[in-house]
Amino acid sequence: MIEWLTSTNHKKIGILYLGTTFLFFIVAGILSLCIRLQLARPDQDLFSAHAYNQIFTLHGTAMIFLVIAPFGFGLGNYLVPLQIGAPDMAFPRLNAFGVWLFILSGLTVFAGIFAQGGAASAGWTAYAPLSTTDAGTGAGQDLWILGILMNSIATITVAINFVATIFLFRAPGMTMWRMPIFTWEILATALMILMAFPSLACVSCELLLERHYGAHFFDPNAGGDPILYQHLFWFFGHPEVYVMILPFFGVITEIVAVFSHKPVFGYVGLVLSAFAIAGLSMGVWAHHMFTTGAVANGFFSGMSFLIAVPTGVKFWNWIGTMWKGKIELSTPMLFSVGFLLNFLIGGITGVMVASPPIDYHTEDSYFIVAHFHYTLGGGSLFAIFAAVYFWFPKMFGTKLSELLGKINFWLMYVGFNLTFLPMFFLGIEGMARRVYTYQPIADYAWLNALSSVGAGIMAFSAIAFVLNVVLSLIAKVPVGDDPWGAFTLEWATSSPPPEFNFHALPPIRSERPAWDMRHPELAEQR
Amino acid sequence: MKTLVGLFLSSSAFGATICLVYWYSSHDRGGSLLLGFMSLGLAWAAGYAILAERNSKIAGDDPQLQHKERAGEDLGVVTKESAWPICLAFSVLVLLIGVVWSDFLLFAGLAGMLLCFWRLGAESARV
Repeated sequence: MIEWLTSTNHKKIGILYLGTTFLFFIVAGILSLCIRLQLARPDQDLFSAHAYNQIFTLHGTAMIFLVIAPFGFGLGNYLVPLQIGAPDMAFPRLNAFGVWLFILSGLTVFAGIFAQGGAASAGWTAYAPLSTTDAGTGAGQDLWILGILMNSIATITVAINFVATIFLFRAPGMTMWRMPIFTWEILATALMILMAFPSLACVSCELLLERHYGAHFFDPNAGGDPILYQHLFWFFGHPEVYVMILPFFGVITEIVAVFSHKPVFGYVGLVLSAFAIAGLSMGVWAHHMFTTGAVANGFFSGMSFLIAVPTGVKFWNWIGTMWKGKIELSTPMLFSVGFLLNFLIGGITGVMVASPPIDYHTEDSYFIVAHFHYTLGGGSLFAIFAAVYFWFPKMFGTKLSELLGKINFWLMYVGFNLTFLPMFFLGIEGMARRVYTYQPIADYAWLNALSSVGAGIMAFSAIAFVLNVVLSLIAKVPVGDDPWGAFTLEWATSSPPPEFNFHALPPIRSERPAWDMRHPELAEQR
Repeated sequence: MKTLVGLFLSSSAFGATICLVYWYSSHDRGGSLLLGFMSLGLAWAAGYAILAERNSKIAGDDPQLQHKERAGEDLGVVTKESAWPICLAFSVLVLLIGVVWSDFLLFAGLAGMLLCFWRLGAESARV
């Protein structure tokens, strides 16, 4: 126990991140089931309006700040030093500080449940003036703000570590242009964090000052401006969407190549598109504010459309990687293909709502809920499962069961689409998001019932996953150092790796050093 | 190092470009300032890399370097364990709770942070 509390080893810190995000995922999943139970039928009164507000606020906060984004940091923590041939991260103690601050940030947010008036209830965006007054909640909202402030500091520390490690700790021969795509995506993510998260830290401090020290940043009666809050929040908030997706683009790239038994198609294009997405995402924040009428809609709409270009490049490269490959539909590949299909729907509907006339119609409706769940749930969450199935043997020396994995995938795929596809139609028919109940008008009743059934199926999928992890760890059948025949450097060491990662490094002469090590004659020819 | 500088410089130039376009299309001071700061920060990072790190030799930048040729390169000392990072994280929590609810906790958190920084510094000096 003490060993885990005081360790500065990147692999233990990575597992701490991943384990914590998994626990928060379970909690956030239970909260989402509460939401779907409440909305399963019209005029339902399982929860009061105030309780419902707390539930969706905590669900959104947990999924964004405590599950999806930090899973990428945990995976990066575990893999980046291994992929570039480094013994550890550049600043191990800063790394340990970051993970503990992250864990405390989550506990602080959830501590609000025990506060008088309950947990935060102003949504994950905590818009002023909802969050600057005590109308909804008191101490719960304060704890939420403190938690988010700590989370932003923790995230900045992890980004500093990634940048320094990737630039300075690469092994001899591991030039930047030989780095695995996952490491490139982590680098792009880290740079985005360094640009965007100070804005979140700043706006959290302003909320605290406004709530407790008489400041009036967002109070129009005293010369403040609530739109300022939205600018500062979304300057962080939209890049955050890409912080939650870029590492998983890397995951999918690695997995698609390994299970197509082909090198990555268009390596340079994948790297450049990651940075193009990162750069463009810094200039689209106010597409969340079209309907305020206070921003340059044309500029933000145009920039948002442009993001489709590098994202399309990525899809092109993934399809090119699979093209004429010997595709092996193991569980990680199934989840990757699921990611491609779901993310495509999320991406295309994203282009739709980047158009202000469509956004004016769908803003704050279930169409938006469906859109962002297709990108972050159908996208990132599927990639998270793909990553766990793929790198589990590296971390624990044993594979997860393929049978349970496939049950996990198909239940998740069917359940996910059943949950979120009806929401597009609900949104188009005008059902507002964040409402705790509704009347039986239009098609609301049966579409919501369908959505709730889908959520139940997803819960069974999660149970299959937990069962898979537990049974595999109990059985612990050894599978060797590289059960997949993978390409990148982490597969050239033992599974799990030794304390400082490598007893001996193979020569690094391409972006596939593990493959070169196994096929020296072919590597020589290249 | 060349790739690093190129990355920061091109990102900075891109930031400056969208900052200008945004200013001309909106005349919004807040957003333009945010983009301007972003661009300046990236330019500063590129400038630092060019000026302060121009003579640094990073093993990973040499495509032909053998592992044995790296022998003797100073990577610093990779710490295995330390109790101070978790103490520092708790001190930050106490300090922030103090900011909202209690002067005592605020000063206790601050004292805890100073102690942690001092011990972390001492650890670094030892290695």
